[in-house]
Amino acid sequence: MKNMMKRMVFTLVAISLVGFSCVPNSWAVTDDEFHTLQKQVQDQSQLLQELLKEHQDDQAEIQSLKDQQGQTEQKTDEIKKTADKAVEVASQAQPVVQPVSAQVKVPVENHNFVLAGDAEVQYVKTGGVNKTHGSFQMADFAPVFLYRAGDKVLFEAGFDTTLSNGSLALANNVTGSSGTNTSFDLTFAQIDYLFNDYLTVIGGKMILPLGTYNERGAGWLNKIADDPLPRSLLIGEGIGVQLRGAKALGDSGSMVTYSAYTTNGGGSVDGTGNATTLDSNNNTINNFDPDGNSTNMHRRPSEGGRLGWFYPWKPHYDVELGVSGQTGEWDNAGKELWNAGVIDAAIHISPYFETKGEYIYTRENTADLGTIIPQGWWIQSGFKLSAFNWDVPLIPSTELVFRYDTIDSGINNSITGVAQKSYRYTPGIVYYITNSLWLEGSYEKIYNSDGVKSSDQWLAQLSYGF
Amino acid sequence: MKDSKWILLRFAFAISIGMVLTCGSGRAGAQNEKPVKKLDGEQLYAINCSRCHSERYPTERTDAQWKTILMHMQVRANLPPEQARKILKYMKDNN
Repeated sequence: MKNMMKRMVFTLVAISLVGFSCVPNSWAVTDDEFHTLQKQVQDQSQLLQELLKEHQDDQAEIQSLKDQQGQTEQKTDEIKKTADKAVEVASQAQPVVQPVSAQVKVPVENHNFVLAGDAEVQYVKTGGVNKTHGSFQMADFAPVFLYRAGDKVLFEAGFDTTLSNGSLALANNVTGSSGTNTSFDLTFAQIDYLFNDYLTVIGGKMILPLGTYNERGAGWLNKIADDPLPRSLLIGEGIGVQLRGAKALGDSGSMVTYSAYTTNGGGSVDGTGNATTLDSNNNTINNFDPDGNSTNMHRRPSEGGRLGWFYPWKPHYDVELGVSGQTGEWDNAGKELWNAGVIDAAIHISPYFETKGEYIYTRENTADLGTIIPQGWWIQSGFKLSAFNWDVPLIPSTELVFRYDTIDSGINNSITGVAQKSYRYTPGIVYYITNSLWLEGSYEKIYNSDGVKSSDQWLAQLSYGF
Repeated sequence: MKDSKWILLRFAFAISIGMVLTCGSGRAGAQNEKPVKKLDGEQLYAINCSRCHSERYPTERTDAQWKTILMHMQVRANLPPEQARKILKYMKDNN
């Protein structure tokens, strides 16, 4: 047994010695490596000491902040108690400030007055039979005064102020040009009383609802500077009384509009019922005065009205139809009747395209020519180039417009010396500098009947709506 | 004669069935109609105002000025008062 133990110990030692002798040389550590390791251990030990110290400092600061928070909360409680006590005392105190005397008047700003309107300047060059030099031919300042006297009463008035060349009588009955004339025209001046949700009563000089052009044709709304030719056949304004209103049809935005009015009506230039008369230069002119009269020159006033229907199937997609008319005497004796009928229509298809127009029919009884039928129609379309979404300068703010209009005066050329019928084509362009400042340009080509030569006109206008 | 009676009866029956189906589908159609949503001021502004003129921005005027202008437009454009009130509210809310 002893021998066996000895042999086992000897074997283990031998194995260990063999094992140690098998240790590879790479496991050996040089002196440099040992010193490097020793230094790393020392550095890490030092870093550990620093971190421990920093932790101890942070703990101390945290404790200090806790102590300060406690003190702050205590002070806040004390202040709150003091404030509550002050409120209690103040509520029990008698007021020391006396109310302001009712006799003291403080000026109040009145925002019921609004000035709106538009202004235009034109440059015109006429060619053909009426050829002229190019010139700044017209300047128009058209203010609109609005005064709201409460929730149901509005007073509104509009003026047209224009400039023209002055005239000067010269020797030998020649008229020369000198200076300028300022013309001041009261376009409308009316009192509106909103009687209820379906009826508005209007009195004064009114823009008449014959068609829609006049009511919606302010300078900064017209995309072509000239008025349509057949509009000259109609009475534009009149002094009288009007009842108008609108009734919504459901909640889609659709509506029916209605208006009925009585005014002094049209007039006769020379007072007679003749179709034509002569001016101071012996030129034959139309005797019917569509500008109306400021007083009734006939036996009785004229009557008229409009019925309209508007249907939008969605915003910027809509159609409007209207029919309107007026009838009444026009000569001083009250023997001759003047009747007018207008069919108006407008359609919008998308925010980019619109078309509108009117057909105008008048029937004029005259003492010398019997019944004459002055009539005409116009159609106008506009297309905004912003529809194309082109990322180029100027184009997105540009609209192309085109109008065709025609007029038949109802009086033969042999009587007046001017064409009975005219047809006009007007392509144009509108550049929207801003939403209310427009630059418009158009070219008008007019063809005439009865062998009268055609003419053309270039027209540019800067218009501003305010 | 008997044959013609039967023909007439069949014809009358077919017409009756057709009427029932038509009336029934109409009634069903009415029940399936979606309620029309009321237009708000912004929509009414786009519908009515843009017909005649370019957009006027709400920030151009004060509340009191818009009240006066909308009264003028209600008369000039012949707007139903409820629509004019909604448009006015839209302008005042956004100026």
